[in-house]
Amino acid sequence: MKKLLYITDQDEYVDHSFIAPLFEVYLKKYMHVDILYFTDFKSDFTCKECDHFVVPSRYKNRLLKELKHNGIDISSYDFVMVRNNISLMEHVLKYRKKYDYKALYRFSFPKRKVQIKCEEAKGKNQFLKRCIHYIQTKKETKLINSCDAFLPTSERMHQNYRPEVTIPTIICAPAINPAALHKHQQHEGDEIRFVYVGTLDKLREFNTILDALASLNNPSWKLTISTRDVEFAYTLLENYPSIKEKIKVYNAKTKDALLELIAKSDIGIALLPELPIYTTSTPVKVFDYYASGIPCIMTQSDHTSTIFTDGLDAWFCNFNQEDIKAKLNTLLGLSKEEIAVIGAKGQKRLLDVKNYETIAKTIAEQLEAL
Amino acid sequence: MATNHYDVLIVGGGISGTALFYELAKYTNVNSLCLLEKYEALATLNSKGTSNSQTIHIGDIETNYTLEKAKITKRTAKMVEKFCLQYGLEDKIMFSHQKMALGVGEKEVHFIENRYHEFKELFPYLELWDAEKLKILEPKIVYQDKAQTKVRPEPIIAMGTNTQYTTVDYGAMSEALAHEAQKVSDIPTNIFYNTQVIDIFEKKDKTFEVRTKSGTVYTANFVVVNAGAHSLFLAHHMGYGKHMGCLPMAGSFYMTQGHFLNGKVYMVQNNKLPFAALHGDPDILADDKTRFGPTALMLPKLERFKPGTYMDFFKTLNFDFHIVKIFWDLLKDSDIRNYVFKNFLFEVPYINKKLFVQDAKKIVPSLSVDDIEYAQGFGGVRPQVLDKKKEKLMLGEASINPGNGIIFNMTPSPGATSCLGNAERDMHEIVKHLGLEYDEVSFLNDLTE
Repeated sequence: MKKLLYITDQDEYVDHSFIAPLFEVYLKKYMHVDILYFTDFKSDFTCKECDHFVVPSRYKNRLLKELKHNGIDISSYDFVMVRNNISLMEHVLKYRKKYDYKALYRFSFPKRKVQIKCEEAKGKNQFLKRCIHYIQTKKETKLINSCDAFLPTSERMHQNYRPEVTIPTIICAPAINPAALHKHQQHEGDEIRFVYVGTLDKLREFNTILDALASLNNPSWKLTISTRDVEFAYTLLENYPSIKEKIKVYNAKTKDALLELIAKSDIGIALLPELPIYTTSTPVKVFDYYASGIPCIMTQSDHTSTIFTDGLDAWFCNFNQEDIKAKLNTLLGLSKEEIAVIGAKGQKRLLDVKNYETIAKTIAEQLEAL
Repeated sequence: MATNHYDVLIVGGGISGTALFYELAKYTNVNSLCLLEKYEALATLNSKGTSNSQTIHIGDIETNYTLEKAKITKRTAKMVEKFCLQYGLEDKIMFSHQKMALGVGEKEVHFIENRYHEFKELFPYLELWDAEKLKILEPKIVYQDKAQTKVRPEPIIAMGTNTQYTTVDYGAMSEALAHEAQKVSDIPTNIFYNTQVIDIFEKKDKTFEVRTKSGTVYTANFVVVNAGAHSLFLAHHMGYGKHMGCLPMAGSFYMTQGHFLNGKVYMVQNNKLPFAALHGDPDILADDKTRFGPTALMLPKLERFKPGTYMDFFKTLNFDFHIVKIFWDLLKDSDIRNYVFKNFLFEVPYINKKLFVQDAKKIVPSLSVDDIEYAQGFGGVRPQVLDKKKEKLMLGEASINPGNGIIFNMTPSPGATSCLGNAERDMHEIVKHLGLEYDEVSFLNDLTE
């Protein structure tokens, strides 16, 4: 069995949600996978359950040396994959020949670009940051091109954000985890309960959705929000005194708590502005909703429309107040049972075409072929 | 020259030396024991109550400890507790305070919550305290004003307990260990004060000759050097531990005028800053006034508040390209650079208090310059070890054991807590080397859970 070391830029206590099942569970059917996390707080290297390493972040620039000091045989790995962190990738490339492994770069999300966009949405001039981003992207692309494979979240993400990467590409897309499906809990209330999970910021223009909700004539709805940006949510809601009472804000700390919260709702909201950063892949929240058996109203993109069919297993909607209002009015006319049927169909569809089990098999085959 | 021969000779009368002295006297059939102390009394340097944090570092609230390390420190910390209970020293030199690790801000709160769940099985008594609970337990850390009307804006959470022994006067414990050793033993257990060891030689007959500044020469079948930073100094003299250097980090404290905190409040530690264990707690030697500290200043000498030892520092640093590389790696990180510079300023009169308060406000947001005074004469030196082979700063303790009947120990934090555990390790080595007997049953009954 071949061996993969997956070095993630995440903290050891990160809620291993989205892509984690792929590396933690399904890919392990095809290869031995060790996962390395960093800690900003603990002083010593730790090996948990034989295949999870936790390394103090101060050793980032001498990572492989530190692993060796702690008895890890680097040359036993066939692949070393780095998630998002270019300087770590550079470090791994430096020792590729010495330890004879294939170096892989995983690109999960264009974080820097999103930060610039967010600041611009707040009206801040980002000219200098754009210039720096341009130069850094050039440098990073050159480095990525010296790897053995590139693993973006989608082909669109590759084309939009790293078009000059020419090495073999393996798509590492989010999917549904067949082993972590939560049963939908039908509630007793007469109203339709919407739920939104995920980041809230200026760029996501959640106010457009709130405007649409505030303009509905039918008052039979409630909204649950789960976000880390609780303060932002409360500030935003201050502008909607007429509907504030119908909206509850949470910050679910674990994946299970989040799926539990979703399962108590009827319809998930995945409406996002039609910006490239949101349309390059299917939003993770869509998988979270369907994992809990609830259907979703979402923005149509190349990705979502190849998976779902409007009205059959999901609802598509343009991102503007009028269209959202019209769609919400339609949804408020459905019974909870009719909504649940759509949710069940959507979940089945995802299990058929986008589940980690099949994705892991494909990735393993592609890695094998490198 | 007078000659005195012993089975085992210990250099250094701090908490580590006296712990070994005690264990050998009580649990082995060693024929004769000797302890050489440089100064006029035991524990006048880093083991002294005013020189360290007086904390039993069990591993529950020490946020930089991994679970594996905490399993080890828990055992050794319990040995300190059991020793004190065995001799009725609770509420005399060992005390029980409330203690907690405080997380401030989203990231630290997330960490504390997760760490609590990870460590709960090992430390079942730990509780998770939110801001509401902390308003009752330790209100000063919750409010940002002295009148306690306004809650601090950042989210906070703490993991802690108020059911455990937390605090020890390690100076007094050193005396208790030596006293009990001499009381239980009917063999020679001699302690010589004002006896500075200047050199140790291995003789042809495999025994050791220990030379002192006064000219007295001692010989021993086994030698253990527990002399803080000077352990490495003496090791280098004998040609051992050349791959190590020593970086003495001095820590100072600031004291409030009166009672300020109800218990020990430790902050979440940054792994890049191994010396930055800033905390606040009631000082058992200063009428429960609250101490904040320690700071961390690199000092070019091996003993604080004592004359000299500058040259010893340079010799023990063992300066070469590898040391430069370690410093370079440390200082090229802006967090560490800023921290080093800031801690230097903490020692500069007039501006020190103002700067220190800014850091200590993370514990008590309403703390002001008028609340604290620089604690004159408080603080010690932590001999941090530099590993030249691995080109990195080592955290915690280090021991050099060439296997020929001599051991050198450097025991910065948590060295005082693990004194009886380290002594146990050395005792096993001595018993094996000298073919002695060891009363394991009594040892385990007396000192372990």
